[in-house]
Amino acid sequence: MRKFFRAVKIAFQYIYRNWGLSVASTLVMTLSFLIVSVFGIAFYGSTLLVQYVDSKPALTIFLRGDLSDEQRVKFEQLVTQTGLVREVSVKNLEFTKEDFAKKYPDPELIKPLETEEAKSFMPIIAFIYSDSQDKLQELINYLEKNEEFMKDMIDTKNVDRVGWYSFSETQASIIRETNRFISIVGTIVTIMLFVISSILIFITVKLTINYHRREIEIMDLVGADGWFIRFPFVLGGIIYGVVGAVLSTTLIIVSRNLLFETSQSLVPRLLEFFGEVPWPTIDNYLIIDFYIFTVGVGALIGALSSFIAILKYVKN
Amino acid sequence: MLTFQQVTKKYSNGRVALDNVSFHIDEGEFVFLVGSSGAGKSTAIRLIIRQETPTSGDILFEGIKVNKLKGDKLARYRRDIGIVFQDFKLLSARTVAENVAFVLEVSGKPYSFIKKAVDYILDLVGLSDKRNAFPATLSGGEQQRVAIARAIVTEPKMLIADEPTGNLDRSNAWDIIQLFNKINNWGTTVVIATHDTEIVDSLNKRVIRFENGRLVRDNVGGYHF
Repeated sequence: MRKFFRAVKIAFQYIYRNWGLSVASTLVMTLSFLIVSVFGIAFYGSTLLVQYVDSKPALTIFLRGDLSDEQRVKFEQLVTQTGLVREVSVKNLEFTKEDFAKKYPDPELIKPLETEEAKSFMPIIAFIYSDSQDKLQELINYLEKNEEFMKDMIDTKNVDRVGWYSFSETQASIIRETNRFISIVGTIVTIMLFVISSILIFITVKLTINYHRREIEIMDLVGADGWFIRFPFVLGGIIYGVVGAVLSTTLIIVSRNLLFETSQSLVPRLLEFFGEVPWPTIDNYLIIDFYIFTVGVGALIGALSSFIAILKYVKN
Repeated sequence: MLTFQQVTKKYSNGRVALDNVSFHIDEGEFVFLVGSSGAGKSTAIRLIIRQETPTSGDILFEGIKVNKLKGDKLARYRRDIGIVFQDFKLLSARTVAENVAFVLEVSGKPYSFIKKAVDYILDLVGLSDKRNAFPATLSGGEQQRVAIARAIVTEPKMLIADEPTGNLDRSNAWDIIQLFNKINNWGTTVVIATHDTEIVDSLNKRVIRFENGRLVRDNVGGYHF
């Protein structure tokens, strides 16, 4: 154990004596992690968005709040028999109430919804899933021509049209394309940056080895174990990777907090727009996981690069 | 303790540095390896410290084949022998005390032990007042004393020196040889490669002489005996 700590001490001495390149390696590693993390977060976010878009009902129809059970069944049959839809889901008034409360959490606004009269002005929501938007448009055309639907089922008090698309095909395809673009570009950039970082760490360790060649020779001659000679260089590489990872992760977390907590306009608006997307909760556990992951990747890159360098340049 | 068994060292350019050399050194002996430049004495030293391996034959240290040692076993062997070089091979970024302590650090000795051992050895070689000096600020003789201190601080079974007086003036050279003699008197085997006739003559110890890679003499006496 003593020898291990002495090897650690030597690693820090090597870093200190070669501080210029050490700082450069660490900064490149930080920058690489920063860019890769931004791509990673963007990819993760856009994937959640794609999943959300894909899971979201394609068409929302507001039905009358006082619709009877018989009429509900009839509506389902009416829509299903067209053969244009994949699934029909007619919710109840309780769902409408909860949905409204979620969007407008003001008790004064929710209060009237608790009364018996609520069904006279609150709609029942029906979600219609289909394979394409053309089919949904065909369904709308069909319903508009159906007298019973137009007269007894649709909520004419609150709405002026048959239904709303959750996402238009254009919007959905933009989101999917963006996700695909981020994944391709992100992968290329990640590989490129990690290769560049690895090369820089390799060069740094190589130069450190050359700078300490005489010391290595002496260590070898006075009976230092092979690992004792090599370990400080590997540890140096690991330190560059880990410090780079910690710095970039900290920067990302601090930036995120600054954006979310101090910005009074942009982020809340964005959140309002994408508010229904099931974003993961940013808690301490997630932050720790993020640190562990990036530090692990950083350590791995640093260890591999320096290991290759010592294999090539430390012969004893 | 140390045995050369029909050792031959031939380099890739065809030069034969040692040609079928055999000798044995007992524990506690003081031996000079002598010969002119290129005779093979430095090659013998490099083979003993396993910087090189013989083309044929074996080198045995306490019955173990030195030329077959690798990895941790080689490191342990090198900790069993002390080595002093003509060019001192001191770490320029470390102080005198740190240079001496370094060999104890690599062998995992505790700091309390290292401190005591370094103080004792520096006192022995007369460098207590230079413990915090860097090698570049020392004279040649002082640097060689540091190198000797580093070589003996681990209490090696054998001390090997390659031209230890080659870079020193007479007075310093003589001091250094006296130090080797003192170390030998404590029971440590000492092997010195040198072409310094005056020193060899003055000590009257066992002399192994090489000429063109061949062992031509092995007995007690002066350089030209």
